[in-house]
Amino acid sequence: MSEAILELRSICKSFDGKKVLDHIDIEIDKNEFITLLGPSGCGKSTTLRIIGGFEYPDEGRVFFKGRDITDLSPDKRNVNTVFQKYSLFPHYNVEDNIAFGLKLKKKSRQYIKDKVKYALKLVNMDGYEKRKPMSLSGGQQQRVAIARAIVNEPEILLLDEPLGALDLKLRQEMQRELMKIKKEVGITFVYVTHDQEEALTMSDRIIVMNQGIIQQMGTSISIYDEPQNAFVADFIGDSNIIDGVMLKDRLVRIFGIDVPCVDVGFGTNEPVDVVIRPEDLVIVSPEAGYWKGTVTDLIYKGAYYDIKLKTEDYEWTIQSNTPAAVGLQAGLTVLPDNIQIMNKPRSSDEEALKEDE
Amino acid sequence: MVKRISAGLSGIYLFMIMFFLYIPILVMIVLSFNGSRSRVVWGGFTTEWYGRLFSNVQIREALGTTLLLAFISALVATLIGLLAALGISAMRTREYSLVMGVTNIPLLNADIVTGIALMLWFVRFMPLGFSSVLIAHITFNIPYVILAVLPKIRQMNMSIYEASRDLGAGALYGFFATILPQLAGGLVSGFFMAFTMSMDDFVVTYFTRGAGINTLSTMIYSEIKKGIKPEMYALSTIIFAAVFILLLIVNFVPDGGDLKDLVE
Repeated sequence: MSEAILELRSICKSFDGKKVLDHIDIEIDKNEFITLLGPSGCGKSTTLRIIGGFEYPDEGRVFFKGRDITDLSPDKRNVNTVFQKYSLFPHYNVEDNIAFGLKLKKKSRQYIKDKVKYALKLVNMDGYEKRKPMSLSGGQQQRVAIARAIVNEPEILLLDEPLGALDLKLRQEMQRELMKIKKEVGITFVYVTHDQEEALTMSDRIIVMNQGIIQQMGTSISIYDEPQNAFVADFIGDSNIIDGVMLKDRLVRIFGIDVPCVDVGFGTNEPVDVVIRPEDLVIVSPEAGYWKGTVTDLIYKGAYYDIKLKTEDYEWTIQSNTPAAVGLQAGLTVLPDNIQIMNKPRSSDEEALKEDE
Repeated sequence: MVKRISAGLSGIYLFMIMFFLYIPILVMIVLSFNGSRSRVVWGGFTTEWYGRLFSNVQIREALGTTLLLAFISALVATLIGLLAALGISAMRTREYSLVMGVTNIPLLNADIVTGIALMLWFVRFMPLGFSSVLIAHITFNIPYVILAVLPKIRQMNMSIYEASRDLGAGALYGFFATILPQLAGGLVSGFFMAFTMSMDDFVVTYFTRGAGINTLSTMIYSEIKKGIKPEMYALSTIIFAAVFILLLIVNFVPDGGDLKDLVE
């Protein structure tokens, strides 16, 4: 409890009668890189705006180091935001943009000068002091926006899809730089994105959200390897999500074939969702596999081949280092370790989440 | 062939615009320097009418009243219009269209109706005079400001305001640092539109003014009854020149760069 720098307790928020956040509980530890991940409209940005003070929750409270800050306006919170659209002040140059917060805090001229210089160096933008935001590229503007936020030495930095508008190469470069900056300044990052790869790359912890509900919280590895429901499995990476029946501990029936797995505790003859990652499926000769089918599609993706294999009941997605000719009759097999069993959604609400994708 | 026809047509179009819009103004300017009182005979160059104009106390007073009236009414209307536009833009669809409908009434309403209605209202509460004319002008100016500012509010980047709050600015400081500069273009054009409308107005002024208060338009109206004098040409020329210079200033402010960036 005392470790947590920020705590959201049972936050609810509706817009025009539509529930956007439904009893959200989040605890964020000091110095953590935490990512709110989900499709658009899942409530992740609203959560961030509630932390920043731009939205007021209908229910629930926000605590900062144990103090209730729910009623504080944004300027009274020791939190700074990097906005999605950069939101630099267009009529100020880069230097004045970065100095904005410090001037309001009535810092000395020398202090501001040093800080601006340091911040620009941190984001690799030294020498751009006098430029106007309009004359900068998207990536450069975003760097300035980051510098503008961190000169104020916030205890938490909120980032709202900061890389959303950048192209892939630049995005990857900025991801690495963000992690470097995080290490250098040592503050808590709360990051919002819909890009699962971005989340997996940077985060200490990921919170997967959908329709205002937290679907799963955990490290990148646990979210990827052990998705708790079909939504998470589907949203994080490509997945084969199929219906199965858990016959007993360590044995699941998939499309009429009994397959050994490692999961226990689901009961007997229980319908479940089964997740198998595409890279975990192995193409073998028709006799050697659990299921038989025909290769229908083959796409070269650079590091691997993306293969579709159609069996009687399902079209499987497979990622493999070796190609398989379209039309080839083949079998599919999978190691027991690589089968992930999940409970079927219990309520219609959870079902809706699944269909939403 | 088609090209030649279209070139010819646009030539004719240009000529018509020149002929009906600018030539009359030019004629008026020329006549204001005409030594002869005649409207068709050139009697040599003179600045006599301008001299007479400025020695005429009545006209000087009317000019002063007009400018003061235009300035104050435009200024107050800009302030009220800005606040109104901010409020209206935050409304939901139904309230929004209702209020916009009400806002547009003074624009669509016949001036004479507005004028008489305001006059009837004013005589109940106050003596007619400068202040009643001023209130009337502010009233019909507000919608112009709202119409000029609303689109700017819609285009406005609200996240810049949020950024300023995020960086520690209070609500008021954030407003002046981020929202006002974004609306500056709309406010300036709203102000000048209101200024022009106020200078232009005859009917509403005529009904709401008390005895002894004259603006240029009511003044010219009463002068015309006695016949058109060349001083009136000179006066109109001055007004035209003033408006023309204002327009030039608005369009070519030396460091309007910041402003224009924002407006864009």
